[in-house]
Amino acid sequence: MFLELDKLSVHLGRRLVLDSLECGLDGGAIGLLGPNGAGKSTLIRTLLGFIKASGGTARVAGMDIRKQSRRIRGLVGYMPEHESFIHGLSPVRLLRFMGELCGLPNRDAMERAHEILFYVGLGEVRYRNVETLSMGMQQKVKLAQALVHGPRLLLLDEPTNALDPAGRREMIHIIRDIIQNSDSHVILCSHILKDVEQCCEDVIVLNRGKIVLNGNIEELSRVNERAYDLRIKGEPDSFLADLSNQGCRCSMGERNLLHIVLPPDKETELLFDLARKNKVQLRHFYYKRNTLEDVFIRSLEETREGEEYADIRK
Amino acid sequence: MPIYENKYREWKGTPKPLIHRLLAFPRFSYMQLKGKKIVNTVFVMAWLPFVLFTAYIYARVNVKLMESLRIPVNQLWKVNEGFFFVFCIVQFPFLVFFTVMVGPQLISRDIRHKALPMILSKPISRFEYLIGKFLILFLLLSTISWFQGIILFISQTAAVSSTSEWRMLFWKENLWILPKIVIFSLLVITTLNLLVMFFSSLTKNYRFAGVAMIMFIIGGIIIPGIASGIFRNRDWMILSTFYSITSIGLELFSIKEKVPVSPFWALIHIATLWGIALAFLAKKTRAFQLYRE
Repeated sequence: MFLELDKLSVHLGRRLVLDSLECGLDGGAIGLLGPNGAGKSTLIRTLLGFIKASGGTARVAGMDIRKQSRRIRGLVGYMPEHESFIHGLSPVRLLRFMGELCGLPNRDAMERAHEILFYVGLGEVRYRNVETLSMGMQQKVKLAQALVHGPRLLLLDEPTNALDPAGRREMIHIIRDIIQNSDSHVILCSHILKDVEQCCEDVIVLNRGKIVLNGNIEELSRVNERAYDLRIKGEPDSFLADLSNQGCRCSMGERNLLHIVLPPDKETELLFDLARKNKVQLRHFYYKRNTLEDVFIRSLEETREGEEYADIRK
Repeated sequence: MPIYENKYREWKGTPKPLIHRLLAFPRFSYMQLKGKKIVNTVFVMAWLPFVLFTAYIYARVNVKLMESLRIPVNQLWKVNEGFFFVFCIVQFPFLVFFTVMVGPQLISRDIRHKALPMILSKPISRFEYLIGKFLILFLLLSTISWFQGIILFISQTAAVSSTSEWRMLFWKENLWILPKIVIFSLLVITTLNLLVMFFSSLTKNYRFAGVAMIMFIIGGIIIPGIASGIFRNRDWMILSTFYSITSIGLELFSIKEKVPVSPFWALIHIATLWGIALAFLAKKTRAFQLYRE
C-alpha cells in the first residue's frame, strides 16, 4: 500500500476535524473529494506533518507520519491551495531556492528550475517577479515548485482554483501528463468533480471528517447498475406512487426524465408491469451509468440520512 | 519544429546535507540585497572604522614614523582590551542599521504571502527554518563585527616586524581578547537578530516590524533614562537593553567603569529577551498558526 490511513484522527483545538480515517490505496492518482470543510486540506497537512495526529497514524510509502515526517516531506511535492510565494523572487529563483531546500546541488537546482518552468509553460516569464504574474501563472509556479525535486508523491490542493477554463484545461493536461509519464503518485484534492474524474483512478470522499466513500472510480460508477432513466407518456403520478410502494427510489429530472433506482429484490420487469397497469407508455428506457457526481452526491446523502436517523433514534 | 520534447523528468540525484539547505536562506536573501544601493553603501561604510583602526595600529607600532611626525608614542591610546571594546561599540550603529534594514522582512513577508506552508513542505523543520532565517542576519552582521575584530587583532601583531619580541609579548598578554571580541559580538548579533525576528513574526507588514525595532532600541535608551531621572533611582536602567549589553561588554573586557546596570542583571535582561523572542518565534511558525494568518 502506498498510502495507508490507520484510524487517523485530528483535532484542531477542541474540534474533531478528522475522525478515525481508515483506508489503504496502492497509489497512482487519487482524488480527494468532499464539500467545503470536509477535512481534505487537513488530511493533506497531516500527511505533511504540519498538523499532529491526535489518534491513529498514516503511512506514506511505508513511512509513518508520526516518526518519519521529514523523510516523507523529502518524497513529497506540495502545491498549496492559497497564494503562496516568496516576495521579490523570480520563478526561476524561487524554484532554485525550493530545489536547494530539498537538497539539490546548486547546479542541479538551477537546471531543474529552468526545465520545470518550461515544462509547465512558464519559460517566457521565468525572470519576472512572481508577484507580477497573473493568478493562472502563479498557480503554475506553485505546481512547478512542487515538482522541482522530482517528488514520488505530489499533493495538489485545489490546483485549478481561480483558473479560467483555458487555464484549468492546461493545468489538468499537465497533471495528467505527470500521472501518465512518470512514476509519481498524485493526490488531487478538489471539490471540482470533473477535475478528479479526468485525472484520477481512485477516489476518497470525505464528509465531516469521515471517509464516506473510497475506491476505484470506474468500479464505483458501475456499482449501481439497477438505476434507470425513463421518459414516459401519460399520467406519471399513479405510476410514481406505485413505484414508491414497491420500494423504488424515484425522482423527476429535467424535461420529464424520471430517475429510478430499483430495490435489490426487484427485477426490471416490474417497471413494464407497472407501466402497463397505469397505462403509461415508456418512450425512453436506458440503464443509467453513474457519473462521479452521482456517486459523490449519493454518498453524501447517505451519510446525512444516516446521521439524521441516528439523531432521531437518540 | 521543437528541438527536444519537453517531458516531465524525475530528479535522481543524492540530496545534499542539511547545512547546504540551511545556507540557501542567506544565499538567496543576499541575492535580493545585492540590488539595494543603500545596503551596499552602508556595508562599505561599515568597513571604514576598521580601516581607521587598522591605520591607527600601524601608526602606533611604527615608532620611527611617529618620531618623525613628533608624536609621542607613549601618550597615544594603547592598543589593549579597551581599544577592541571601543571598536565593537563603534560598529554597533552599523549592526543596528542592517538589523533594521534586513531583519523586518525576514518572517513578515513569508507570513504575508503565505510562503511558510510551501517552505515547510520541504524536508526542513520549522526550527531549521528559523535557523536559516537567523543565519541571514547572523552572517551579514558577523562580517562587520567579530570578523573585522579578529582581523584587526591579527593586524596588530602583523604590523610589527617578525623578529620583534613585542609581537610574542602582545600575543601572550592579549590572546584572551580574541574570544572576548567573538563572545561580545555574538551576544550583540544574537540579541538584535532574535529581537528583529520576533517583531517580524508579529506582523504581516515589515514596515511595522522595522518601526517597532527602532522604537525598541531608542525607547530602550530614553525611557529608562527618564524613569531614572523622575524616580531618582538608577535601578530603572535595568530596562535598557543597550545599557545591559554595554555592562556585559565592560565586564567581559575587564574595563573598570561605573555602570548603571550590574552584569548579573544585564545577563538576566538579555536572557529574558532571548527567551521571549524564541518562544514567540516557535509559536508563530507552528503549523496551525500558518493557516490562521
